[in-house]
Amino acid sequence: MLTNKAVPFSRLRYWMYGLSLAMIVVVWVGTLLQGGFNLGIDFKPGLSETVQINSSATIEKVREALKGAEHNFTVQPIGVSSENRFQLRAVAKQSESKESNLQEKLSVAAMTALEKAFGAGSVKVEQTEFIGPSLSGELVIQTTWIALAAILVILLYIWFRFKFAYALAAIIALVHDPIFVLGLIGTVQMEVTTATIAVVLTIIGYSLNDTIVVFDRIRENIRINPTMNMYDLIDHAITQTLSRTIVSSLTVILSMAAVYIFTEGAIQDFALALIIGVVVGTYSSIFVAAPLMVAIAGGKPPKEKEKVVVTDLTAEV
Amino acid sequence: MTKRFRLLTIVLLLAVSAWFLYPTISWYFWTPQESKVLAAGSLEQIRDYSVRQAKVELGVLKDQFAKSPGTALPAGLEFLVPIVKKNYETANMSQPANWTVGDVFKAFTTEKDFLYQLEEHFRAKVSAVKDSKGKIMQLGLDLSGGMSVIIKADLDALAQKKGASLSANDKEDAVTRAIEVLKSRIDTFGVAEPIIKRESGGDRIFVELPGDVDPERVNSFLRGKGSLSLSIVDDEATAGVNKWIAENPASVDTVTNKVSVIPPEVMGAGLELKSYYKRDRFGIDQFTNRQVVKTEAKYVLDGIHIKQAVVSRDAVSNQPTVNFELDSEGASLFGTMTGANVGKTMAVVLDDKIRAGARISESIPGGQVRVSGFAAKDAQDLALTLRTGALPVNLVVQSYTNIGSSLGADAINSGINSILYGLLLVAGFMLVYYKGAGINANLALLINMFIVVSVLGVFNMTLTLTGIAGLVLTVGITVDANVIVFERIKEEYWSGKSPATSIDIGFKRAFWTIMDSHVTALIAALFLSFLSKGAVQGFAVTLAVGLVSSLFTSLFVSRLIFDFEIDVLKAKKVSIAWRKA
Repeated sequence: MLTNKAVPFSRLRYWMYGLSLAMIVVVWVGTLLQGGFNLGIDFKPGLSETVQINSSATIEKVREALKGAEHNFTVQPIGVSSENRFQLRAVAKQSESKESNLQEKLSVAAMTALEKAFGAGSVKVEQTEFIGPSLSGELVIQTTWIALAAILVILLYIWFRFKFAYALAAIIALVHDPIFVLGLIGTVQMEVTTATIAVVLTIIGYSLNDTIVVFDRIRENIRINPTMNMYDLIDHAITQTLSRTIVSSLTVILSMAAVYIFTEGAIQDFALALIIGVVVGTYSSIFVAAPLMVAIAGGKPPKEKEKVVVTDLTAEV
Repeated sequence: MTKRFRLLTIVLLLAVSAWFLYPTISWYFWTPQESKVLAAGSLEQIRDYSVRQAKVELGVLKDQFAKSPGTALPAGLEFLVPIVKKNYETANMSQPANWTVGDVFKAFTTEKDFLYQLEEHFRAKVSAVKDSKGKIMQLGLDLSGGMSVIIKADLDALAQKKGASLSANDKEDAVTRAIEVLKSRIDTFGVAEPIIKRESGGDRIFVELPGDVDPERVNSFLRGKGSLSLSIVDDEATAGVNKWIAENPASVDTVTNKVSVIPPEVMGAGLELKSYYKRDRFGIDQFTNRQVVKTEAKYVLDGIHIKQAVVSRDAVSNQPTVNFELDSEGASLFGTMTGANVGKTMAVVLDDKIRAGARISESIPGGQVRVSGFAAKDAQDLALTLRTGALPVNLVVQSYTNIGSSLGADAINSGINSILYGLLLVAGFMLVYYKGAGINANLALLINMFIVVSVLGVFNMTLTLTGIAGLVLTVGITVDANVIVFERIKEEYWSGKSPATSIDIGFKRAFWTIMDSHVTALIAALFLSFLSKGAVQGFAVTLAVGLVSSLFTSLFVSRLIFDFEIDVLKAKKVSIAWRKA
């Protein structure tokens, strides 16, 4: 039945387990060496300031002017464009977050940069506010607990629909991806914002979807050919679903590539992280989830509890 | 299920979606910016606008009337015709076939009547825009900016006031009612669609106000402490004080309407002068008259004793009544108070203003109170006041955060555009790779997006950056579901089966794969939607809606299109790949 040639993916399994572990260790060591995550404005205190500029200032010019400043400023126009009113926001650096004169320091940094570009006396500060973080560690903890509960229920579902070995392997692959991507985000010091949470969740969702598709084919192949060597069998399943895997990954990468090219800042980071996440998610379904499932099941087909009736699918309905 | 029935289901669903989506589209594309600003304005701003517009309109009409009363009624004023017709009927005048400016003027006896109708028109217009805002997909705080306030319900103080520790039920009730009070207050401030959430099981309330919010206005409704009481009116003193004020008009402040010191021989001890305010059609308080209420404890019942207040109709007369229920302590106090004051008036006093009055006809024991003699609208107002006037628990503001959108408007625009480009790329790819079947996939995707956005709109959900991420994942999973089916159909087709059989088997084989992948993702999405804070919730809700819709479009819609090609178009081949079968 399973006559078409299979790519011997599972032959590489030990290399891939090693690669996964090595990569995760590397990115997390990298994150630690960088002094932890680069938390964004959602997690850290910072400055919000409204300024009015008495010259032909456009949003682009203001952004350009603030690029020279020591801190990373975000700029938004406020009100009618002829009034040249802008809201500037900046986050304290990790090392500064405890300093008492932080507000003044940030404010001065902004003024210096703006006056340099638009001339002394042309910039008027209308309102300065020191804002607290909008996301708290509490949210992260709460999210983690809920994610754990969700993982447990997913485990039960896959156990019910498939077998325990599938469920455990799926969960390991599912945890593998966000751990890697988070480590990578920490290593390259990409700013951690609300968008990062979205990226991690999206990657989990995508990877899970990918894993289930491969597992579904493995289960089907076991029913067709229960005596086949399990590693050969998963190679067949992966090969059979390979064109689907490539096409699906490609479509997500394609749409995110468009976002990456045409945007900048937070949305661009989002797109890049998602592209990496999809690649990792696809990789983990093929090289981690499937062979791991076989290893957990002890190299044999996972035990079927009930007798499965293979329905004659060729019959017309 | 017959194919005709399936087609009907899809058409019906699309029609419903279109109906849901209309307000959102109309808001973002067809509603002028000034209307949006106005609808987010305060009640006073709306009144001023209506009055001003009505005056302008009347001025124009008057000019026309002076020049040539025979000109036809200008466009845009057709709304006057039914009103004018009614006035003609009442006055028993013969109606012309074509309404001219002169005819319209004849329908109103005074200019004030005319102005009233014009004002009503403009008020209704703004109200309609305001209402439609409750039915659209909103942009979240991170996309539109705004203010986020965290409020803590001071349960310890409440326990102290009660002198006993609070049961879980008491706490739950106090926080829930505090949220209801906040909601009604924020609504009357005309703040655009606030998001009010509570910490699940906790005592904190998160209020998020999108758009440009004046912090001072927010402060006023958060900090104002609601004091509500039922007080007995002293009719004699009321008459005396009003007579004194009429004789000493200088004592009244023209701006605040407050009365300066009244000599003690006019106003006795244990009495207090309060003003009676009624809401006008704009919802703004209008001074009505002054009444003197007794302040001694035995004449006052604190609003904290009111447990519930609802509007119902009298079984016999069908007149609206306001029914409220008191707790046991309140019931006995109220029984005594009403028993001692039969024939007197009882006033509902909220934050120092009299809101309503009722004559006590008999002693009311037992704590079940029914008050009648209102118009339906007034009854609703009173019930709301009774229910929400008194804050059951002190609210402490923990933090104010003024949030500009985390991304600039230009960044959001380029982001949305790039997502559209991305979608077009995906659609193009599917067409090239899957040829004819690509059309199925793209149609299914389009319908999916359509359904998701309309569902988000009808539940007035907010679209945040994470919500957009949810949409992106939805697109990915929808495309994937189609790809799974197509690859299966291809396999069967290449193995030599007929188009109809290949399609049938393809869908059957793919069914459980798609089901499993959707259900697992749905489990994750549902769990995450329990989170009380917006960021993750936005993602989860969007994804959950997207997944259900994706199941429908990939298994139902896409299948029907294939069946259409086979059954109706009598296709002899499946156009799904470049390789020949």
